[in-house]
Amino acid sequence: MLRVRADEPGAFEELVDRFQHRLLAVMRHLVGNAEEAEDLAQEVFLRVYRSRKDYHPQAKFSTWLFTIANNLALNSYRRKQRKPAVQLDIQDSGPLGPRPAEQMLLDRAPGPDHRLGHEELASIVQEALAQLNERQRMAVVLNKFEDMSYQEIAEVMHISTKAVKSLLSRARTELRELLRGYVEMAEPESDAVQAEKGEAP
Amino acid sequence: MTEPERLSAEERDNLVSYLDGELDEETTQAIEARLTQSPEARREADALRRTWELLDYLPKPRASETFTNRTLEKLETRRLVQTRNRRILQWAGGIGWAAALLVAGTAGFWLFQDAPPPPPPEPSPEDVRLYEHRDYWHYYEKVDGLEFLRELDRARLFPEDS
Repeated sequence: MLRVRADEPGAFEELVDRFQHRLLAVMRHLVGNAEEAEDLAQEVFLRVYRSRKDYHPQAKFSTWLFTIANNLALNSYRRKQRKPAVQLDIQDSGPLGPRPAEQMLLDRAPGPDHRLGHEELASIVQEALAQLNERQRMAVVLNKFEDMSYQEIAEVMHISTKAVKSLLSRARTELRELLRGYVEMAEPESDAVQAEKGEAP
Repeated sequence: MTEPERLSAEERDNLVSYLDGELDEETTQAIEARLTQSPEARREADALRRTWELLDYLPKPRASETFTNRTLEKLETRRLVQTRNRRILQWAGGIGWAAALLVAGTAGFWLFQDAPPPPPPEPSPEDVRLYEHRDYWHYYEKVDGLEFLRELDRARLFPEDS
């Protein structure tokens, strides 16, 4: 990033090459839609370039990158809230019980003798993640896939570490409720991950 | 022995932090003690851990092959647009200054057009003598110009005193 800041030729291209997959994965988990995720990821890189002179090496680059990503994803979410399409994924269970999308997940819970395939389970987990509110989702994605500490998440999201702790606790409790019926159905984690990598379990 | 009551909200928060390895030493000991005593807490911890592992099933999306090139193209387009906009702004600024100068010039012209003429210069003592010379009055009325009188005076065509 320091080379980008110094306007060194080719440095920005190298930076995009290096961080594109990580950023895109986070964006994809946040917004769900592949095309929108790519657009947002591109916009993040363009903003990084635009603000390159403001970058201070005290901050870890990935923290800075995901701070911009968080701001853009939240703005995009707010824009969508102002112009809602047909939306079923209302966040959080209300006082009257689970909302439609949550109920769909609960209704689809398989019987005890059913063993779910990898793709089927992936789709269910994705739906469950989409049920979290956008801040919970961001905290979960950064913690799980970027392996960020509470302190780093707090920096990215401009909140206290205590708030991160509470956000993650609520998110994980909610996920546990939504995926209650599926935990037993899953193959052991190591098998699933190895299967995905094409390795023998 | 009765099982301790369900986890409080704070204990649940701490349990999640414990699973994430984010707790300080003292709270870690408290949570570990609770886990040792309570099968309910152990079940809760296990369910939370296994649910978290389910997230490993999520696809790991990768950017498309053309992502970097498209990003660089977009950057170049933005740069061109910014340069063009800057030029338009500079051009508009120049036009603005020219218009301001034109307005100021026009306003100045209209303001000073109606202003009173500057006062006539003080006559020299020689001119005063010409004015006061009674014989010249007749000529002055004819020629209607002081310069002509001066010429006549220089040529000494008038008597010295009348």
